Amino acid sequence: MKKLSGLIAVLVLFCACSSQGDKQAKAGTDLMEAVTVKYATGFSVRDSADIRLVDVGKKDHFALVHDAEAVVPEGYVKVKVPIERTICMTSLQLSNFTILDAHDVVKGITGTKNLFNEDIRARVKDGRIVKIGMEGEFDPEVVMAANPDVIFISPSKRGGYDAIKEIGITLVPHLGYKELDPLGQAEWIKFIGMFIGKEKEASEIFAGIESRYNELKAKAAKAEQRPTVTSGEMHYGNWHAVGGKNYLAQIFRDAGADYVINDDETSGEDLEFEKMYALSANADYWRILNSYQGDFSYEALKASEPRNVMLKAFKEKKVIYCNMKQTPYYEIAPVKPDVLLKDFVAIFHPELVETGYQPTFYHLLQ
Amino acid sequence: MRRTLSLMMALVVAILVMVIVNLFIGSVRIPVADICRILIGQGSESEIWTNIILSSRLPQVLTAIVAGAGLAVSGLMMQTIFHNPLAGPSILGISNGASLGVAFVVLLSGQLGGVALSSLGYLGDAAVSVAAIIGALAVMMLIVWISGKVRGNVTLLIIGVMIGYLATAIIGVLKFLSPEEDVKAFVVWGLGSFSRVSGDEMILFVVLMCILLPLSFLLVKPLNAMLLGDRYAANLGVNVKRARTWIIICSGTLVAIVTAYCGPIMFIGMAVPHLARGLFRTSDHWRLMPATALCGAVLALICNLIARAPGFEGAMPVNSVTALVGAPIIIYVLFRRRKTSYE
Repeated sequence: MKKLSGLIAVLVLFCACSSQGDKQAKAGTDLMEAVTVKYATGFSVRDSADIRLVDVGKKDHFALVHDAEAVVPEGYVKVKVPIERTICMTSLQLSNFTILDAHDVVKGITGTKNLFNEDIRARVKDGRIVKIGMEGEFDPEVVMAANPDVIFISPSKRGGYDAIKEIGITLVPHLGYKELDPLGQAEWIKFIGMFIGKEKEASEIFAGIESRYNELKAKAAKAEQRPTVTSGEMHYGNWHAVGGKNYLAQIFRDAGADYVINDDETSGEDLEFEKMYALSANADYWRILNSYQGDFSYEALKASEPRNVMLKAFKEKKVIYCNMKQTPYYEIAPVKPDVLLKDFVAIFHPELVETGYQPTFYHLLQ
Repeated sequence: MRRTLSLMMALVVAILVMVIVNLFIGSVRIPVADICRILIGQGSESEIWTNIILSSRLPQVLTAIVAGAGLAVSGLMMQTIFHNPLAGPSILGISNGASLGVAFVVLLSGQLGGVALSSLGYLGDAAVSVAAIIGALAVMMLIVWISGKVRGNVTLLIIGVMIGYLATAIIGVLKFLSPEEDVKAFVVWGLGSFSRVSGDEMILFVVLMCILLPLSFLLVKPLNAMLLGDRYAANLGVNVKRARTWIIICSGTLVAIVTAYCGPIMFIGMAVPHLARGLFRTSDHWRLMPATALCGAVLALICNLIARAPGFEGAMPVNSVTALVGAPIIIYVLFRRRKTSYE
């Protein structure tokens, strides 16, 4: 009964409040549109009367309200939603906005290097989106001029957020990058959806992603042979290897293959040649992701480090490759884990995907 | 003389011992019997082990030996001509020049191409060595030219140090403007490593050093003369300016090549001459130079071993290890001889 009256109260509140001239059909947008979080561990949602309480990570608590005058519990930062102006700090955050078709809300980004999205580039060009500078070097004046309602941050060590905090704009951490589960990372579109008033679209899109992903994952799990895969590259004698407890390792697992570091503790380490070689020498596949000017090839791989030729995956030409200079990756892959999974499954277990499948991100290097 | 010879024999033995230890110990456990078989050319059942020994540990050992010897000799030369016990091979800014060259390839090219260059290793990695040599030699030419125009050693030293600071400042600006991955790649390069080169590149490196090191022995006579000062040296018939030029060229080239292949390796060049002087109790370059070369090789091998010890699988950067290992040794040697004063 309490819930029903709460629901009615909010509906009334909402009808009173919603007078935005949306061109999009947002009439059904319902603050109480239930947002359930299944895979993501970085945020949780509780609805209480007409307030939505969102806890991000361990330290940040936000109360999303429609009414600017609403009273929120102690320890919660009030955020009036839906927001109309925001700044995105990372490609991951931007990907959430892209898939929700919400570029209108984005008024600032850090930079356009490696950015493929035509719409964003056009907006930057004609000034609808401003560039605020790299992390650690924000230009506070540009940030203020963009006048965002909130700023989404993904804090790393360089910080530089103090200058922005002084301005008084609410900083909302977006912890998608910490998710170890690919579906968990994609689920953050619901997080963004809550702020911009697109919860329903977010849930629908995610439901599609989830079902496609899980369906393919179940098929791959039945495959008898699980090839091994290694990942990374040698730079100046140093090979940064992701660990077994990592997004990438998880996707390999779900695609029916085993990452060479198959534990579930390490998240990443730097290895020198000997250790890396001992691990990867007999891996069936080798995943490489880089930005290469031109067309990457086995010759280039050999030229960068002559000892690469000793790896089995090199000898058998089984390098799984994505060139970030030619394919948009970080700006859209986080919200398309089902496509990523399919790319991998198409390589590890081609019989599970339709013939003639054209991969989007990763393909077998010729 | 007997003491000198026996000490040198001891050092050679130490080198051999360290070579063996370095080959036997590493992050991957390989049975001793297999290692012996691989070394005599019989190979072993595991291709992985063969490759590890021949393509990873053996090149490292050879690189460490010649790099250690080269840096030590270079440092000795710098200490002698500048009469400065704290001088090292990088004091004239030559290895900063090498770093600057690498910075241009690793950092600036990213700006020009509009893309993070860190993954562009391929032509990149060879280009890095080339850029390092060009940068180092450019600075060396500059210093040599200045050396011809300038009279005093101190002036030249200060100018060299200033050039080093200048190069570092420019690198700072480049780092500031670069994306994260490139800066990390550059930093990784700057940590120094004996395990970067293998195969043909390593053979080239070792051959070059084996040519240069004996050539530097030709400079022993002018170096000895300069020990007592420029005037005295001139009295002995040494053309001081020309000698200085050649010494700088020789020292600079040694540093340039080592830095190009291993990255900037600190401390060995500065500390090992003191170690050698302390052990051999001489300032005579006839004995000191080979002694320094041998000590440098041993120290480099020890540092390489520690950097790769099984506990540090992630590979500790060589530069940290050289300081951690070398400093106590030097302090100990100097302390034992504190009653004797020397240059």
